[in-house]
Amino acid sequence: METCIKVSHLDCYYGKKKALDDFSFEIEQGKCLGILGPNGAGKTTLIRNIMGVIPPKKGQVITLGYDASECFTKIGSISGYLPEGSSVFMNMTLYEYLLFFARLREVENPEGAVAAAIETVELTDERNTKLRKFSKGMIQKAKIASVIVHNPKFLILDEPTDGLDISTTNTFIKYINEFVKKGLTVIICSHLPDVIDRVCTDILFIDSGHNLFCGTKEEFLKQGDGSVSSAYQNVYDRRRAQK
Amino acid sequence: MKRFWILVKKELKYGPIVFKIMTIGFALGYGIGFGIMSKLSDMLYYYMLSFTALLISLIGASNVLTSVGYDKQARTGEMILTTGVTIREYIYSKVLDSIITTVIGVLLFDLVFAISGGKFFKEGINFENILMPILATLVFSVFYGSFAIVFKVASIWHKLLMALFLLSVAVFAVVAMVGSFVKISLINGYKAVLPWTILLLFGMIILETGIRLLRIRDFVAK
Repeated sequence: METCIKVSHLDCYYGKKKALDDFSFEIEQGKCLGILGPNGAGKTTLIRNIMGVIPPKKGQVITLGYDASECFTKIGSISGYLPEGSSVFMNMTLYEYLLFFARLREVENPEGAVAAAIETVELTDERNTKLRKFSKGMIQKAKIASVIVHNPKFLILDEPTDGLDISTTNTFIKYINEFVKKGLTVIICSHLPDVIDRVCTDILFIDSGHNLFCGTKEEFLKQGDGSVSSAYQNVYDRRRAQK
Repeated sequence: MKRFWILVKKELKYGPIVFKIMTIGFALGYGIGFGIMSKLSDMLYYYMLSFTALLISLIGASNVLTSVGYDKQARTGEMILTTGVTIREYIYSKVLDSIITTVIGVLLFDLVFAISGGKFFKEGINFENILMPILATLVFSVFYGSFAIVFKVASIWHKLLMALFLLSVAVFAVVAMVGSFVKISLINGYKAVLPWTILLLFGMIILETGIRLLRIRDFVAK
């Protein structure tokens, strides 16, 4: 299978603080990678490096053959990126919001693409409703629709289920599984072990900017008693003991 | 260019309405008040136009500053800038939105000022009276725009560099304005427009320099 993203020996700093330290991993196309780690571990920094938002001090990110620090615009056009806690334009209707992103991404038939995206997230009846009238779950659906409207080759979702109720979280898990089935590569950051367990094929564990584990979910589960949360705790405790 | 106009349209249609209301309200109130009071000597008329352009552009600059700041905190800037939009397109769309609103405000002020002071009825439409406030607005908008953007997002070295640039331009602006006031009675045709055109070109260079210093990480919340 072809490599989608290859991260090699990445060093990244925030001021004098080293956020990523000689970080390497790769993910094949069509896989779903879950990024786990404690708060401040470097998950969002890693994602921003992959998207080319933050240039690395050292190392390289190659995404579908493009260097992230040089081909930022190209990567933007083939990817869908949902930052953690991002907002929407509340004065827009759902249709206007998605049309805005479809046009920015220069989709050939923006109206058709928007209709398809709205159907995917099951908000057809809310097409002309202002986003300010949406619930948190519906806004999250609108945001997901905005990152799939241009048929991206890979998706990066930072805490997409943060603050959602169980039912909406289940809906999101269904969407992500459907995206993976369609062959999309998905990278998902989440603090919820259940979400990671139900959608991911591979897992990356990061702490203090170091890659502590990268492999299949099955290999990761062997680190604990068969659940993501116990494996997480064991990997985390081992790291703390080493320190 | 296509993306740029999509962004401009979005800013005009869905940007913060409070700045647009402030601009129109300020233009109307100030125009009527000073129009009635001024008795409209040429000197005072040109002075008031420049001064209003300066003040209304300040509202526009606040708009750019707030808008970029909001996008940064709400992470919508990060979303927009990872769609393939360049920093130049993003910034110029914000600046142009403010400029369009400000130009409308200043022209409204000009019209109300002239009507309420009687100048409009006395002299009719003078092309220079339309062009001069537009240029003054563009100059101040570009100054404020670069000032706001660079001070909001750039590093300390960029800020110092821009401060030096802006200081020199501010001095130039004052000299040019004073010059045009003094010579106002001698001005025929479009000579009052010249200093503003020079300043606009100077300002555009500064804005462009400022934008070149920016990186996407400047628009990303920590």
